[in-house]
Amino acid sequence: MITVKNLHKSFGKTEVLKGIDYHVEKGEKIVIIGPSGSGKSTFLRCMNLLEQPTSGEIWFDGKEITNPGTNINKVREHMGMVFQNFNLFNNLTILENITLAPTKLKRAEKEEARQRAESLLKRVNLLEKADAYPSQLSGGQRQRIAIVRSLAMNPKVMLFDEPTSALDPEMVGEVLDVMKELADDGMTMVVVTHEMGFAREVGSKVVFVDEGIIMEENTPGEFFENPRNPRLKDFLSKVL
Amino acid sequence: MNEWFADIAYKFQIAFLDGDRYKLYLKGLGVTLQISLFAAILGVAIGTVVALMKLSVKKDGKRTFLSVLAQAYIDVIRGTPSVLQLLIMWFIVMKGCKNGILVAVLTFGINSGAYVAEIMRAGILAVDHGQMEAGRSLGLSKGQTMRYIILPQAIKNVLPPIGNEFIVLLKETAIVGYVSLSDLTRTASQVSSRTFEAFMPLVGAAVIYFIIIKILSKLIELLERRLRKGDHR
Amino acid sequence: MKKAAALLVLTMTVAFAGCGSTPQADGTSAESNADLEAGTEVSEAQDSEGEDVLADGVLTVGTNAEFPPFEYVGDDGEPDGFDIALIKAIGDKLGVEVEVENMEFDSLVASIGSKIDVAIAGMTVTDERKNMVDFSDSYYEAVQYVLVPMETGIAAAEDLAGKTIGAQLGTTGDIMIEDFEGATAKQYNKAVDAVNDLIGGRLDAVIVDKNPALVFADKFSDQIQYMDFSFEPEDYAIALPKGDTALADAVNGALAELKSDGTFDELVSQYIEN
Repeated sequence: MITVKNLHKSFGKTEVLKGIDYHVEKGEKIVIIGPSGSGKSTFLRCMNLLEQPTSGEIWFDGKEITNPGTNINKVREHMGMVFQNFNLFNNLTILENITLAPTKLKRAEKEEARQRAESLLKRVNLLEKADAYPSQLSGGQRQRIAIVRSLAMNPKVMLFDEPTSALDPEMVGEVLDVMKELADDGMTMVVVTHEMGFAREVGSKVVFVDEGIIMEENTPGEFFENPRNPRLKDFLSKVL
Repeated sequence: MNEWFADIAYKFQIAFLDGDRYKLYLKGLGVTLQISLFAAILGVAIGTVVALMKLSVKKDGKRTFLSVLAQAYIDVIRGTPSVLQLLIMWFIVMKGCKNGILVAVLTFGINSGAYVAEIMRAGILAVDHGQMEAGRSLGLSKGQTMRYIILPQAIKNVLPPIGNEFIVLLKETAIVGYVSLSDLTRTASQVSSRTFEAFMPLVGAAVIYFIIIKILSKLIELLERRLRKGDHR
Repeated sequence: MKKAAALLVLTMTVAFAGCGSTPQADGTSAESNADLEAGTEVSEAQDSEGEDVLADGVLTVGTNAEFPPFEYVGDDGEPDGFDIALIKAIGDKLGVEVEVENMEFDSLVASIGSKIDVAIAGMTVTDERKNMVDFSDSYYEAVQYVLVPMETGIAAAEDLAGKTIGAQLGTTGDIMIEDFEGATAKQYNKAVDAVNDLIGGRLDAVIVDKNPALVFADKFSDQIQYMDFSFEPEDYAIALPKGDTALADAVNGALAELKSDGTFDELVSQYIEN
């Protein structure tokens, strides 16, 4: 579904990604871990071109999206993204947050979009917040809304950029639960996270990124029980 | 003391009542408000467009031609006195135009646009970058995200300085007398040139400006409060 | 904060002292300006009439240097013209130094007795002005002319009805516009601005004194022409503080001397008939 070929990304003189090749199959849940500054978030953000790669190719659904001729807006309609800081639209109500993109992008009529938004809100138990503003919600609630907002576009893949890192500890669970449900429904997911439990439980593959390259990739069981790369061993010893 | 009051009353009489002169002030006020209102609308429209132009960047991060153009416009307008801009518009650019109000509206609209542009730019930059990323990640174009997400939040940010700009603009229009328009200030001059008495017309005009601006400030305050309704941070 | 306040007070004191440096001339004008100048000292020498204006050896004269050939800003940046030369000659006769203040025409009358001692600005003697100031003997007789474009339907004074007419704010021409039924008055700070708008087509006519009218018509001879509708002639005179007969006598005396010794005619030929 997503193929990354020889991906390089520099910010000014600093090279953050130094040649990444990866392939995500439909239905896979890829969990990316790594120390801070390793380039894992940049890697994720390159997948929907929120970061423009310096070189390399990214293919999605059989299309090379790094080709300048590709309409990236159309591509992104099918790739949901959830941010560390939620990034709900502060000027819109929860319902408007969810229905904005489907209606403006002509994916649904107003009424249709509203009904879908309400059923999604029901799924995350936040229907009563439909008319509230983001500022009136807790962090955990906001992140669940952010997930729902992406789902309203019926994406083929969901990208998660440290979705629980900005949350108070007691709110992490409610967000992870929604993500697990999503995984159980068969959604293709790429998740950058520090939640090792989630990686172990939900991930179909776990990827360790450090110093701008993929250092190790394996099934959760092997990854955590038999790490081979010394840097991964060192990393795991610190976080587990 | 009585004499003093009689003197004041007499001056009031000749400045406002004789020959129904108060009607002249009202007419002058009408001209002032007309010019200010339309110039403010024009200024916000120009300012928003110019702010977006100035913020535009190429893919490689360099400034676009539009951005350079916007900067040049802002520099020229801010670097020259508005009286000169008015005279240049009146005697040179719009030489053939007989509608003086229109010339004034365009002059002050273009003038105010430069200041509004800088205010809007700051307001847009103050909106968290994550808002743009979230919009783009859903497939919305840059323009759509700007329109539905960034600008509404930016406008809320800039309301206080924009209100201030409106007040400055309203007072700035007092120079239209230079090109024979009879606004409130010029009306005061006209009356005092007829009565040879400067105190009442000038102070009277000042009081009218003061009241209008007080009302305007209150309206801006109310609007600000309404827009902050969705904000509980 | 206290220092800032003290500085503010000091600045204002200096500023007001500056305003008040021209001595108040006499009782009437000092009184009528008392409310304008709240906080400034009103000259204590209100009883001795006339002498105090000249006592400091300086005669402060207001003019509006936008009225050629009577007054205009010369190449050296200082006001020049017939009126300026005349008042300087009068100053010589009176043994005082003449200081010229260039200001807006419409504020000249109101400034006599406060910012200026007298005003000379091609000013026509009118009853309204006489309520506020006294006038010297007339030194020139003038008539209002009408400037119109080369192609115009205006051939007589009646044709000015309903037209858009320009004039310098507060001048006789400005006041005359009211006499034409349905005419729209456009007031300018400077006569030349009105002339520019006449050329530009915004105005149908400009009413201005004869001599500047001739200057403008000559300067823009291919675009505008002057018309003499035989309006009632007017007298130009020097505006003086009301009730200051001593000063009026002194000025009139000097004026008479200049006329008899030929200086006046020299100035006329130098500035006006040239």
